[in-house]
Amino acid sequence: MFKFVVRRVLWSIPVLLLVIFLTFVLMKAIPGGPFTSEKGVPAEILANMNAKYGLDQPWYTQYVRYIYHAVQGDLGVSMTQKSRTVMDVIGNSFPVSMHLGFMAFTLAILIGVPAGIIGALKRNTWADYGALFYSTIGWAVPVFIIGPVFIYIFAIRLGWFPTSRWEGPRSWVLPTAVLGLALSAYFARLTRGSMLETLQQDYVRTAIAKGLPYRTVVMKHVLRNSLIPVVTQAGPLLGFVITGSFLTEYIFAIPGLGKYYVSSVSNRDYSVVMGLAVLLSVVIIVANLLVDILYGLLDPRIRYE
Amino acid sequence: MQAVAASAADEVSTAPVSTPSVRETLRDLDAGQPLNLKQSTLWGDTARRFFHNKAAMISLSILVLLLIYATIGPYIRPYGFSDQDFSIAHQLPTSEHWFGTDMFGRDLFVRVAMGARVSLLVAVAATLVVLMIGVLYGSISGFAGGRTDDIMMRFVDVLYGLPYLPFAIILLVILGSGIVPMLLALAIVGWLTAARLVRGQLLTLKQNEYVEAARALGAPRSRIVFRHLLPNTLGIIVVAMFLEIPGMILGEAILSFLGLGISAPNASWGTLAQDGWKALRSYPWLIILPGLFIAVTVLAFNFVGDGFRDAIDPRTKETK
Repeated sequence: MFKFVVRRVLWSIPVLLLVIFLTFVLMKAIPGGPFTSEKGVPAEILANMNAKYGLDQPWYTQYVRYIYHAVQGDLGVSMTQKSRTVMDVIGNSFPVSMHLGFMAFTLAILIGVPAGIIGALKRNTWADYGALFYSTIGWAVPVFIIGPVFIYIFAIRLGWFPTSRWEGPRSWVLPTAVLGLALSAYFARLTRGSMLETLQQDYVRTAIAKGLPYRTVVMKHVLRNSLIPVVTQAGPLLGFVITGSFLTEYIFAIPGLGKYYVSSVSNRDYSVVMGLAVLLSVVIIVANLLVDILYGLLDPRIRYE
Repeated sequence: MQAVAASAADEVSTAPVSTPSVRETLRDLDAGQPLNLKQSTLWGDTARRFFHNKAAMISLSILVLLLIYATIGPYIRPYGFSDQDFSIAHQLPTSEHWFGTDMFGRDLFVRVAMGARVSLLVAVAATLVVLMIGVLYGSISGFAGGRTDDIMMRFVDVLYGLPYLPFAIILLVILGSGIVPMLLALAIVGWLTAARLVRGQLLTLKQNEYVEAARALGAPRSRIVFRHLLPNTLGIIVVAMFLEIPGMILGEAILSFLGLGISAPNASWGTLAQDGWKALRSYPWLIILPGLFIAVTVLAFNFVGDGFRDAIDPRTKETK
């Protein structure tokens, strides 16, 4: 197990470097530099400013320099927000996104996993069709439609919750519900499929054949094994959360990563965009690493691959 | 083949013409009737299974209707795509304006039809580009095998976990806004699944004897890939394409909704939803309308894709 973990941790280092490299190359491909503006800075001053920030160096020097500063926690300064570094922006926005994501994730598991289990155990009954219908609708109707509809019904018409912002529990309800419901559809699908597959396994048939109560078989054999794929899908799911939270934060004007990312792209604040893209990649890679290790713990077969 | 026919039999019990069983065939032969050799071809069976899948057929009809609407919709109403008339702004559906009007009094029946053109065009074109990249990359990797395969697939693995939205956004900034940049951005972030799929298929197919035979006869690699391997993955590629399109429709809509994709004078469903979002407080219809179109289209493509997959390989249905 120890070797397995060490190997996975070591492997994520080149992955991280490659991802940062790709982001770096993409950012370099954006036309115009950070000091390009309509005012028309004289060429000499522009050259001086570029030299000051190392932008006259070849790209590989810049890349190494970026990594060198990044590991020390310095991702540069914002180009549009006065006296804020990229780390300041992350420090303010990341906790908000984490908070939203965590609550939505919890809600999604509480709704989605039971819905999937009921669907699989009561296959082809109305309960199953209900759960299937729910997960299909939740998948096909995008967050940017569900969000506004919820805002219209619960905030504008009924006035139960504020329409936007992130100030106190009342304002958390709608964004959490919108993101959580979209996510729960995914969980429901995944759990149902995995349960159905496990129910067909030979060891389940054996357990039933030797006379164990159906309840015990489901709790001890089926449920445990069928939740493994649900755990291992957390990587792609996190991507889904990020996409969903971009939209949720945009719709509800929540000052999280997604909202800053979109507004920084519009404002051409490239150092913030670069920093946030790198941060998101790091989060995903670390999450995948944890999932892999967890997978190894849950399912011993995987360690020996 | 019999097993397949038998498992398909219970779902097509209402079928007017079902494949005769072995017993029936033997009885017919004993009665001196000529053997009907046409009764069970691979594609015939596939088509029969597909046509008896209700969800897939309803979805296919919806898609055909949508295509007709997108093609002739703008011409059957006497309004231009951007004709403004503030005296009739923000109307709900009426006999003159079947889908109502937006904040500038533009006719939504015409605008949604034009949006359908853009959304479908972008999604289908992006999917085709994705398939091209995926087939090329996947077949090189799958056929080369060994170290090349290892490196190429490691690269895919690295990119696979990353969220597509932040990178699609950066790509749109690089490529500019409009229809072509949008479809390129979607394709560049979306080809990984297709590449994995094609490679996986090739690895399985490579084991077949006819590949060995072709190689023994001295066929060049390109001939083996293009004449023997790829045609056999065609069915799966078609299914993958239908299942890819809804993701592309959603991706385009998300980017346009965030104000980064298709912008005036063009409009996709995402752009229309963005217009509706701005007027949500008083006129929720403006966002519900494009939302309905997006959701129904996404579902329809998905059901048709599922139907194809189940028709090509009925076994997949059992674990679903």
